[in-house]
Amino acid sequence: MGEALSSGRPVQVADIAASSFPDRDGYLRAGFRAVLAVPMGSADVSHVMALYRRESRQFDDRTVDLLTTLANQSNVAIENARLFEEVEAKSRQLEAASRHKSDFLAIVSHELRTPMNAILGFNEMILDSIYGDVPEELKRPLTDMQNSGQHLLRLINDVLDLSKIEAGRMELMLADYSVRDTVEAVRASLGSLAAEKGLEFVTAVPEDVPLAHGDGKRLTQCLMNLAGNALKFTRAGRVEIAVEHRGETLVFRVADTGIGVPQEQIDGLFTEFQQADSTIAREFGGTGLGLSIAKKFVEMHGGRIWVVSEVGQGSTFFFSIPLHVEAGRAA
Amino acid sequence: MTVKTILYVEDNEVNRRIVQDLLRRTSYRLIEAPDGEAGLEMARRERPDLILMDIQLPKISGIEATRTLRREPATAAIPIIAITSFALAGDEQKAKEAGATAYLAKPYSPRDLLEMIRKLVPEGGGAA
Repeated sequence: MGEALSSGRPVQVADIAASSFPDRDGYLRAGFRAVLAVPMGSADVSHVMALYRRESRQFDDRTVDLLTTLANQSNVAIENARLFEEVEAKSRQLEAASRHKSDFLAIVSHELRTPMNAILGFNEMILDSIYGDVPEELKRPLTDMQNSGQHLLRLINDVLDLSKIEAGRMELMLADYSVRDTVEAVRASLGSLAAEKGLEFVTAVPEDVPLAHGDGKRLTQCLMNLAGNALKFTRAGRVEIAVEHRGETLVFRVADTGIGVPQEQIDGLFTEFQQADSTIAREFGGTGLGLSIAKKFVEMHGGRIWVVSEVGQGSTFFFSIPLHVEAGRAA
Repeated sequence: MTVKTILYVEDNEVNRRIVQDLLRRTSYRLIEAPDGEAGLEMARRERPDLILMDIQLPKISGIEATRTLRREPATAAIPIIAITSFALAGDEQKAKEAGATAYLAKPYSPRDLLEMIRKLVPEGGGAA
């Protein structure tokens, strides 16, 4: 046995009774007279496979070959099983770590909200003249404070969303939703921003779009992110949200006449914190997480998202999702 | 003109001050409780016209307190605005199931809160 291990070659004892085999008497009492041991595998052998026989006789070459093959195959199978176990344990660890991170972020995010509530709340009340008239020269800095606080809050929310998605803990709440209402909600909440910038902001939803099934709230969030970007990156011209209904597929389109995205930066666009240019964040704001979140929500609906863009001409973002998203299909 | 009483159950003192300041120029009367247990007691004793209930509370959670208030005939009909936290998903759902009339996510805009209060309990007028 030891010899088979150390030499890495098959070893046999044709007559145990006539040998100095370790525990010779034990084998003889059990009725064994001959043994063939072959190493399992060829490199770093730690196990041997042994075949015992009740009569003392040499094992022929065919038997040695057969046992060698069996030992090698068994070795591969055992090694695979071990690797599989290892991978499984690793992925369990990773899963736990990811859950940990997501829990941690949820708690941090929750704890951040209490002071944020006070900062934004008092500031808004000051601006609303709850404490008396606000001197003209204070209105601008107070408004800046309010906007920065809101931005911080969006960041907190986005980071939390992403961590939940990555930990596999973001679940879609599937229900019937109206495509028209979804688009209308986005138009209503971004309308004032468009008006402020003097941009034309239009929506086009065909009359005959049927009731859809999916997570309306998350899809609204996707459209908000896309349309919010479009408005942000457009200095003049128009932003359009349009929906097309092709059989069992819905295609959403958000088109702008903004600054556009250079070809080489399109691939990284849907990655976290990858605004096309770091100077863009300074001029246009945004968390750098919106597109990444939109992509993940679209993919959870079994859809895809893409962009067609030309620098100086504008960008058009598309996403297509099934008209009816089945439970369980959402990944 | 009857003065409408609002009970705010919230453990954070600074947040309580937001609502104090917000309601100062209105005719609403504000009473406060710093945890779920005190909130329940005060609700039973004072029978407020509206309750603002934070969900994360010491002793008895806002969800539990809401459920209890709904079970007791004397407080079952009092409108409750649950102040939920977006961070802990499912809060909204839980608040609704416990019997909250409406909910507002933290951080809330005082303007929105006042609007919601006025809708549920019109100031000094008849019952909502």
